[in-house]
Amino acid sequence: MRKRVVLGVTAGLFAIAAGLSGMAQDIGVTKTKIKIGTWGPTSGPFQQFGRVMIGIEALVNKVNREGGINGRQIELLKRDDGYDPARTKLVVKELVERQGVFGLVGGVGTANGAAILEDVRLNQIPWVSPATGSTLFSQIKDGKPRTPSVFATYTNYVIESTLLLRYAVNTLKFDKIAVAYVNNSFGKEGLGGVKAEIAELKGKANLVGEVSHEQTESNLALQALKLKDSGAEALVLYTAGDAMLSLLREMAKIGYKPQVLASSVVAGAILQAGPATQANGAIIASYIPIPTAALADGKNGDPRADAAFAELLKLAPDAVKADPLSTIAGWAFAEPLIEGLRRAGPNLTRDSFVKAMEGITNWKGSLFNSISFSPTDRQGNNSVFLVKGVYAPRPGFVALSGWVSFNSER
Amino acid sequence: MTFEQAIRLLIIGVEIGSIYALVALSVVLLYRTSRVLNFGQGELALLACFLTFTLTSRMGVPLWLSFLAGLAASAVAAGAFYFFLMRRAKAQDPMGLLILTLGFSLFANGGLSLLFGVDNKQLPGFVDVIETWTIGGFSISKNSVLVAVAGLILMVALYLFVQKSKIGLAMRAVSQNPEVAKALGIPVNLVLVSSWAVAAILGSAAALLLAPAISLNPSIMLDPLNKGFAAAVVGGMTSLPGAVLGGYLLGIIEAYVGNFVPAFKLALAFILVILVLVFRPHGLLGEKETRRA
Repeated sequence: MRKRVVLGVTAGLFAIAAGLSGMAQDIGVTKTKIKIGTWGPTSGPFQQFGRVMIGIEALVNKVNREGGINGRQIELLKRDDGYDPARTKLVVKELVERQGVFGLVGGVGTANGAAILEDVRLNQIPWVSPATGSTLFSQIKDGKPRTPSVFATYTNYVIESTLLLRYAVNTLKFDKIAVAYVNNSFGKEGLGGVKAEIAELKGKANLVGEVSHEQTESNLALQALKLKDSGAEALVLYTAGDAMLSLLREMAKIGYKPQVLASSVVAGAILQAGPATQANGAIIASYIPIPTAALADGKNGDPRADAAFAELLKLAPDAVKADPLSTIAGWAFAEPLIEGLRRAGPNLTRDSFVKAMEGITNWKGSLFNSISFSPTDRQGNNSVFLVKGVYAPRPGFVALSGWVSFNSER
Repeated sequence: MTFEQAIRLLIIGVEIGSIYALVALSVVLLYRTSRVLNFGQGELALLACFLTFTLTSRMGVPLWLSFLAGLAASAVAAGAFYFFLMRRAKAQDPMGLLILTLGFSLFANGGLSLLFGVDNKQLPGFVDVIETWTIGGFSISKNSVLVAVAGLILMVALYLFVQKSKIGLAMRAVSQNPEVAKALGIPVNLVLVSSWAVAAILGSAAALLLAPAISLNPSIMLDPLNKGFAAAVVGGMTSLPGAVLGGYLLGIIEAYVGNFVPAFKLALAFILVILVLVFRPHGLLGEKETRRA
């Protein structure tokens, strides 16, 4: 009898051990739950940027409603960092150390992301889709990703500005180019992309003007005057917020009317400049397709963007109507995370997740054009499509091109 | 630099200088009577802007009426802030009061963000901010002219108010010696409440002139307030004409220097402040301060 009990217990322990090894799991993962963290400002003067989290939450809700991933529900923990990098460090520390999240998704702001990048690297915390187009998050060193657990999906500013310039030069046939940029990493990377591409185009285009401003400047009358004096036919904008609106209005005041080409960052705000400015007709790079709600004619938006928009409306109708593009961007940022979790299978660990993400190639299941990672590449998306800002029949966008990718012919 | 460029830079300088001058006037007016720098000035101005926006754009009230209501609300809020908080504060030393205004600024900014949101709003102006007039071959925006003219009118009105009205005379008396003014039967509290209210009107007028050209959100007054403080120091913290001179000087110098050395533009105001504090601490037109008894 005693022998049988010992044998039974031993067999049971083996079975549990075997079961556990077959169900390997990591920090933030239980049999029924995966904890994921995200952050952005939901208070203070930049709280509109935090709307990205609405999109992330809407997709997570939908996935959970449909049964979760491999039997696990996603628990999304959202934190407010007020767009202050020092607070970002604190809230992410709390998410990682106290809440024990499996990984991170989204996270608004270049400086904010930069503040936690070292911790992410040291602790190998999976982080999908930093909500910024800085190249900092997909850097390669000695042929390997500098931070292997980070997977960037936002078309970075260098790629984006390069594609805008190619369109200005190759399609619109402009050769006198100017850049207006804000003196931070967003602006400088945009400027860098334009300069590098002008060098590549070998004489087909010239950078005749380059003006910058500090983040705190809100009156860009001087910059407008300089741009006019430069004689540039096309102006690439890597500025945002009040400064961008001021620049467009000051240009209109002095009768300077170049073709404006602008970063996706300003897509939600540029039309506030008014129909008498060069916002009317500005070409904007978008890394996600435009829903019907943001199209000028209110017809034939991207069906997948429309489906996402409908889900978003259920969660936060006012914010989504006020800013459809930022909220849908959040949805898009979360899609590769969900795909990675699915591909990692039931035995979810940080290692298995990173391997699963590295295996995503030419994946077209998200709002992005195509997502590809590899063991040596962490910039998953390098496409934009171009839209034009117009004011009739209502303020919105019209599509100008299909998807254009960085690797296409010059 | 061509003649045309020089004139254009001058126009830019005068337009922004008008805003700086109005903010500087509000700073100086308050400092003369209360010896306080009010960090909440920007939020009082924002209150006027948001109220004007709500009344005119959301409720269809005529712009001029909304504008006046905005100015009045800001004046009442400033007067109330002085009367109920500043006057009763236990810490009546300049540092204590300064901190109080800083706290008010942070609190009010949060409150305004909560009430009105942080998205850019388009405050209508009395003229189209982009339309221009052509004068002598130069196109000048109607808004630039409006800002400069409205600025001048307000400055003249303030001058007449301070120099010719009874309350203005009382303000000057309080600014020279509040104790003696009190002994002479001048209602010091009323004078101080009025100073706070008038200062708020000046700052709010600056914001209401500025906002249509950019956009309205809770952070638009940061830069003008910094520059207004700097202009006040340059002109002299005790001199109303000095505030006007400092504002225009800063606007115009900023335009010319910023055109040639853009990176210098933001620092310029504070370089001027340093120069003034080192070589002429009482400012260009200010009087040397004697410590009150």
